[in-house]
Amino acid sequence: MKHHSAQREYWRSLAHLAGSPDARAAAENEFAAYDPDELLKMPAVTRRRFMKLASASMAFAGLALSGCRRWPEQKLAPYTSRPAGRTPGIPEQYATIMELNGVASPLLVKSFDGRPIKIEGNPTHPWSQTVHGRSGAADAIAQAAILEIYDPDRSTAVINRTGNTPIAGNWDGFTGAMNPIIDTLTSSQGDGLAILSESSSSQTTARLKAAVAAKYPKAAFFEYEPISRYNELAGAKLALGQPARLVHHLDKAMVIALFDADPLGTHPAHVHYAGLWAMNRPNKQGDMSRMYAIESAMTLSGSVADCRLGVQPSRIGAILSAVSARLGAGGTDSSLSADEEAFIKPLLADISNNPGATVVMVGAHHEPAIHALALAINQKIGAIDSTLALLAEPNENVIDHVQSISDLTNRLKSKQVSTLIILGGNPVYDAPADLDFPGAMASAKTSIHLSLYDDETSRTCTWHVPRAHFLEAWGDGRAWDGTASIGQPLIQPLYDGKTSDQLLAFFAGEAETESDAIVRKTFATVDDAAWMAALNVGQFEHSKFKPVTTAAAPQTYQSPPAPKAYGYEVRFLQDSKLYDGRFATSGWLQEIPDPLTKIVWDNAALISRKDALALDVGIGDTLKITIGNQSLEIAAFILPGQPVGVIGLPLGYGRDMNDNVGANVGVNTYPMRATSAMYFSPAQVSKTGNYYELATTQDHHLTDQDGIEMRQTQVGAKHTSAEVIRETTLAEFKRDSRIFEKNEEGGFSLQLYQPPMEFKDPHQWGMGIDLSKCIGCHACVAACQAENNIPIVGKDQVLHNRQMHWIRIDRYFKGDADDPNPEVVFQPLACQHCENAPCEQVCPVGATVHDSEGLNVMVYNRCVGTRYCSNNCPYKVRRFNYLDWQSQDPRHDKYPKPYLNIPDQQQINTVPLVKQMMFNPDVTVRMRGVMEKCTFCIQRIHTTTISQRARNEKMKDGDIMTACQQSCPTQAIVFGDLNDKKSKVSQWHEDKRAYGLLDEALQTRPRNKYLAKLSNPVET
Amino acid sequence: MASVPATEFARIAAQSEADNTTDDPRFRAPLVTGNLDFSGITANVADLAERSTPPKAWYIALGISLSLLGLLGACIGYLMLTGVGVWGNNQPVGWGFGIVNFVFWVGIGHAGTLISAILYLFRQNWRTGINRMAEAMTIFAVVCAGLFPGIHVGRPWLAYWLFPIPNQMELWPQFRSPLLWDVFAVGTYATVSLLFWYVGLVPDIATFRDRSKTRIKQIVYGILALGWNGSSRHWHRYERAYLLLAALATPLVLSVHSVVSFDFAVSQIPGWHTTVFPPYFVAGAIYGGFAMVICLAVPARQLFGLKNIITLRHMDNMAKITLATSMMVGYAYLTEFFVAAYSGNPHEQFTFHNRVFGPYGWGWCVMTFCNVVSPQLLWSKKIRMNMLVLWIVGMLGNVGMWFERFEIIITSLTRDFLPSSWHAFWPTWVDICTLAGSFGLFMTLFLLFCRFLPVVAMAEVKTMLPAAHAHAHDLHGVDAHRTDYRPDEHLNPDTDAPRLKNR
Amino acid sequence: MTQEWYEQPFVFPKWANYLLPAIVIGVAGGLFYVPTVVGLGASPKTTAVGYSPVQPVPYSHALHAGKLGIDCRYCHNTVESSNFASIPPTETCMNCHTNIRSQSDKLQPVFNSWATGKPVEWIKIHDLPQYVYFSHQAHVTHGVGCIECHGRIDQMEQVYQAKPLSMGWCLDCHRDPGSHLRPKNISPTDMNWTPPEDPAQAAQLAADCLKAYLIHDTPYMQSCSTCHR
Repeated sequence: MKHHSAQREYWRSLAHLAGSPDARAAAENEFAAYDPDELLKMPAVTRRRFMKLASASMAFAGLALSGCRRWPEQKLAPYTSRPAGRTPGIPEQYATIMELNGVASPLLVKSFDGRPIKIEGNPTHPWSQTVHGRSGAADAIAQAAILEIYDPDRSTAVINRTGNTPIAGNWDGFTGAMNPIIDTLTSSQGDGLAILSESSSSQTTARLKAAVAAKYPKAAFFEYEPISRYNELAGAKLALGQPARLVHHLDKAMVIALFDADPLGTHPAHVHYAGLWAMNRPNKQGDMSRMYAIESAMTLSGSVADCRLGVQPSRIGAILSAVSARLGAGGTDSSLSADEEAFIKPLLADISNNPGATVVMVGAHHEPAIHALALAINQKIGAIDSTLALLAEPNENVIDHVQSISDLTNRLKSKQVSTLIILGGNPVYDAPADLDFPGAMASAKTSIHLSLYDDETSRTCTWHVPRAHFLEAWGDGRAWDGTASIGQPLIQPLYDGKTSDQLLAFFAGEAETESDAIVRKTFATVDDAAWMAALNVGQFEHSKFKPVTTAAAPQTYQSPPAPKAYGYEVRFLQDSKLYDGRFATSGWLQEIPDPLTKIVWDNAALISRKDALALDVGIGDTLKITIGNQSLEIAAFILPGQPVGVIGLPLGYGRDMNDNVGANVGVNTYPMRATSAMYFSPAQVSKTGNYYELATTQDHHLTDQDGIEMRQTQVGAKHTSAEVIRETTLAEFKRDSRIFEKNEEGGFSLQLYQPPMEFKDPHQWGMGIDLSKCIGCHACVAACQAENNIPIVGKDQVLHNRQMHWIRIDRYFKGDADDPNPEVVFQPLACQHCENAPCEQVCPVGATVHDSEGLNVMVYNRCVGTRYCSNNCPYKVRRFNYLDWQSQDPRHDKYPKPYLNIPDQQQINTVPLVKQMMFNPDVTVRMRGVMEKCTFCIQRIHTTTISQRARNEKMKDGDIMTACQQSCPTQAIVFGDLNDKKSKVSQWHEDKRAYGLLDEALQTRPRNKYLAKLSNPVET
Repeated sequence: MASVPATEFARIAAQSEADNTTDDPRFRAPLVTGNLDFSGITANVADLAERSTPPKAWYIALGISLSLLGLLGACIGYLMLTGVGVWGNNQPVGWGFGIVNFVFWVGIGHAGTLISAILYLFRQNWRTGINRMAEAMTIFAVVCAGLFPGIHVGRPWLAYWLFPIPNQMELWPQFRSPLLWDVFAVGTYATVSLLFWYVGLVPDIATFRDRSKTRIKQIVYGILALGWNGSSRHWHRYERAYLLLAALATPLVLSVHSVVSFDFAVSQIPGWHTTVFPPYFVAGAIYGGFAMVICLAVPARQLFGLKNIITLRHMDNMAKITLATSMMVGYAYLTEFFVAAYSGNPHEQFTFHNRVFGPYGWGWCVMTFCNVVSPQLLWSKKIRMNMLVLWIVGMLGNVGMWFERFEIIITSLTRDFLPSSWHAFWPTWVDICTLAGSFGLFMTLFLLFCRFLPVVAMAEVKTMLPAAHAHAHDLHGVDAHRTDYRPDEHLNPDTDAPRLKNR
Repeated sequence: MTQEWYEQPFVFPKWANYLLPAIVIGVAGGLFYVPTVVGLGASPKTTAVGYSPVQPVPYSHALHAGKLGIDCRYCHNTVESSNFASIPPTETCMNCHTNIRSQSDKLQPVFNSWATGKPVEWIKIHDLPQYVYFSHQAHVTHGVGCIECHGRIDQMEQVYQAKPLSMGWCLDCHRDPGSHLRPKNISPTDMNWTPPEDPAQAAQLAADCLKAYLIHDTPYMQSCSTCHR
């Protein structure tokens, strides 16, 4: 059995990869300890689902701290025949992709006995590979998909709403009902057939659309994404004469000028871009790139930029054209304000000083002309082919999504559509409000919606078809640079879902009905060997888009006149977690705090302090925001760095989803969006006098002046060190590289507790975190949550500050309260594994102790729950199970209900089986009343150590990676053996910038050291 | 010689109230007033237990107490079945009301042993009037205290792991943890206090036994009396045992609360990690304890007609001790601030700044007013003599002591080292009901004690009678064998005229 | 005393004095007796050892492993590569039993499972608490014989739990691993091998094994994290 996860070989066999159901059924059955009667009692359980659920019992390993040794009796259900190469208890990993808004991100999914349990980036794929290539990064959204697949709220059946009352049915019933419709369409050459789809890079989808078009020549195709990349492509078309994919080599760029662009946060390729950006923060020569951000919102990129200026969105064009004009790349040099002048002066200087090492980026939400202008500038400054590669988009004609959805709506209104097929998406929720798409839909006699959930659109359609999750079926897609990949399933559809390809194939009358056959047909030219190879590494080598040959022509851009009177502008924001709202159903994402506001389970109107004072509102006071005749009421959140005069409205909240986790969370801001102004627009803003309580995971309880002052003294002023955050500027650091060796606070070198035990074991684990690399994206939080079976607690409990994330990212704003551009510092904080741990001294039962490899281990099954350790932990990284979170419903638990189960057996009885399938069997699922905390992923350490010892292998640096480290796109986290002097972590601990948090004050001797933050602002 | 029937006499005597607070060197101020002789005392004390029906007030009080006790039961049940999450505790504030109440009740439990043990060794005869009540109070307070560590843990059904019991896991508790020291300290204290109390009870129970009319009472009291027959041998053994126990209990008075204070002093949270804690906590405990005794004694002597046994002099002395200890506590408060300021440790300084001016500043004000300011009233004898005001001051003392613990535990935890993890604490309704319920438990036990056991150590009080002193008459011309002893006859009409008048 | 006893106030009668020794003995005895009974009663030695449920198939290890001498790893073939020794799939049974005893009634459950694809539901005997992470791989590849935890399986007609599998019992080995190891040239599945009688040799062997298997530190083996995650 050499298919061992530690060896990272991606091996597959068609046989047990969702191949024959028998093989699957068998595969899921290993060690199942199910009670058949109980399962069969469940409503509408097909045998197949029954088999799926059977595998849930594997999760019982580690589930519930059961002290019960013998009873209840456990059953062992072995395979009837074990699939080749499957070793029970050894996880396998498969390369696949997740497609979002037409861009595929390559993933590597860990499967345990047939259950996918963890999603990671694919290290062999350039577009998720991180700098030193061993780990693949994936963002929080991709990682949270593991929760989505096991979500009990997913739609489980075809729903027929042609009648008055919805009728649940199955696929066969659906096809049966469709056949007559298909016949009529065939006879009418598809007259009245309209297909609305999400944007997709799948070649299979393209092929099938063509097939459908061939079968129904009169059929009309439409495409809509609420967050569209149309402007970018149209801009390229303006400048180059053809749409192009802009691939930025941020690692080569020493000067990065962002005009409302967010390459590290919301850009489709942000994972890869973040990795490249981090290579120069600082690079091997000790130099750093300088990032200029001029933006109409507080973005992640802006928060880590070295120079930042916040302006109203309408100013971006003017400023860019001024820059362009001064660089001689066309455009008009309209008058700029003093701030703007002051800002672009050093920018222009830097650009001229770094020929060929500079790149200009513009946010996708700005009009095509501005993108064209940016291309012209890049051409002029020699960015093209050095820091910016232009690749040809596969399809020549650019689809304007706003136009497309408008056309569809008009057709519907004029009764030209009899059959409407909506493949994914959720237009009823997110189409521009002025179109009244939902109203128009009524005219279609038959409307079919394919989606994971029975959502707003499904409820408006006559048919809902459950969609197969991307981990449940085959598909394909292309990464940002066009590299093609195959999406492999890891499990049979739990709820008989279908892919959009399957639906298209059905209407096209294709012979193949199963997703694997459909996809294989697309790549019919590829022989089996190459096919296997592609599946192994998760990509087809050399399948990038062809480069663009034409050069960008200089542009003439007439920037709109600056607004006369001072007025508010609303900026609609892609949400950092819910994207456009499609992920609102994910409890994990809802509870992962927003990187900057730290808000969970809500959205808020982001507003600058100046405006807040002008409107006389504080955090939580609600605002009435009016655009035209549309208006909504939403709580204000004062965000330092938010540009004055700009109200940020995150999209994607306030979903109308019956009893779903994401239902009615936050405020739906789509009704404010009109075809004329999709991304920003002038607005009236007024105070309502109402108050709404927002839950944040930080800065509670800082209401009074003392608190705020104390925080300032601990965090320090802009670019200066203090006890908690140590940092300086690059220039300063070059002047005096020993700056951090100075004792920050006069030092209390006496220690309270006895000296730590001596650590003699060959391995001594340690961690390092580089503050100058961290961009606060929260990928590590999601990774930790998935790896360690961490529950969510819900808004009410977050208000009690009982969130359970083992790693939190402390976000500090530096600079005085009304500084328009405060400095932002992100400090990821997990258990520091102090060698001299305060928690260990005080536990009365010795439930938290050191192991011989220097880990501060937490023994859940010994913990009585006095919470003394948490009190005594200076970092407050310990998390207590105040309630049985796994059993609690995050929605409504203001007064938690008592459980009548025997506590030790509770979770087995109260957690839905489908959810139990998600648990990582290598990590104990904690019960209520137990303390828990970061373990440095001890399960990974042990599995690797054990298997390597068994095979007499020597451990190499990087063989063991913690979940957070693995998912970090900027490689800001390293983990390894401190005894191995050559290991990266040892080097970091020796680094001049290294410091232990609170170490000087308390002598805790943390095993995790931070590298002080370096930034590279313009010297004044 | 013949005199009025003892019980009748006692009833009458109980109404009048003699001022015996003088310190006139010519006379030994009597500790029993109202002309009570041996039988009078017995009658007076036994009265409540022997009455067919206790006063209405007793029933009302018991009713209230029992309903609160029920509430406590309900809250604990809910807690057990749901988890600690039903309380207001959160991430930085791991300890909330649970531990606040624990420390509060342990503190209350101090006065008892102090009075019975230390004052006994110091030959403070006046203790005899109140020691029984104080000891009972101690036991019941410790019962309440013992409740909280048990229920505040996350998995109460495993709390026995704190005890060093051999087990198949071959694991011991962690002896470096102050919580473990608590287990032993409080355990020992409870045991010794209980023994002390019971040994003291034996002769009095025997008295009850001998006086009881019904067979059941005879048997129950008889068994409890361990066959006491008042022989001089019994008395001899009894005195010895009592002395030994007193010697044993004395160090405990200091140790218990010192150890409890280690829970905080040994940790490293700013505001907890202070060397002044042990003496500070002990002083506070004694203060709180006496405050509670006053709160119980005032109504008790009123209701059960014990004014001649728990005399004004007793109240006066207790008031004085309260005043003294309150000033020790105030001193400790000042020391804390000085240490913080002097240490130069920014975290320490912030914590104490925050304690006064932070979000919980109001709590600090309540604490300071109740524990330091209001007791200053007791400088005035008028107030010490005024039972109502005295009672109010005592009550404020209890409130203050509770808030002291609240301040120490909550404000220190809400804002410790990293500003990112600060969070406020607010109690839930379960927290509050549990606190109220614990008072229910305390009062229930105390009321039952008053009804069925001798609230005053009769045997000891009798030794305070002049009659008990062999050569009493030689001392100051008072014939110990006279029965028409006037409580105020030792007063000089000229000098003490005013006091005579205002009676 | 001339009065009747019940006219007296209730003072202990004379015979009550004889109660004293009785009480002393009773209390002292109880203090010894109760913990002993509870301790023994609750100990896994009592509750776990000897547990031997009737399995759906009367499979005899005595026959297969003992008489026929089939190596344990023929069926439990993942024992060296995974945490789980893994119960053999029905297929493994059928390898032989398609020909041998292919009509036997006792084997019906196996045949049914093979026909329907539904598993044979064995009853778990060696059942560790769910927070204990035991790895067969780690033990079997480091000289710990099957017999150490499972006893003489090769002599069991019906499998029973031979060892208490309690934490203390685990620690006995983890505190003194050497004496429970067997040299590399002896198969872990060998049921008949016994360590040398002579203490000197035994000690020598223990030392050699520790060196051979690179078991350098018992602190590591006693860390909580070794078994609990």
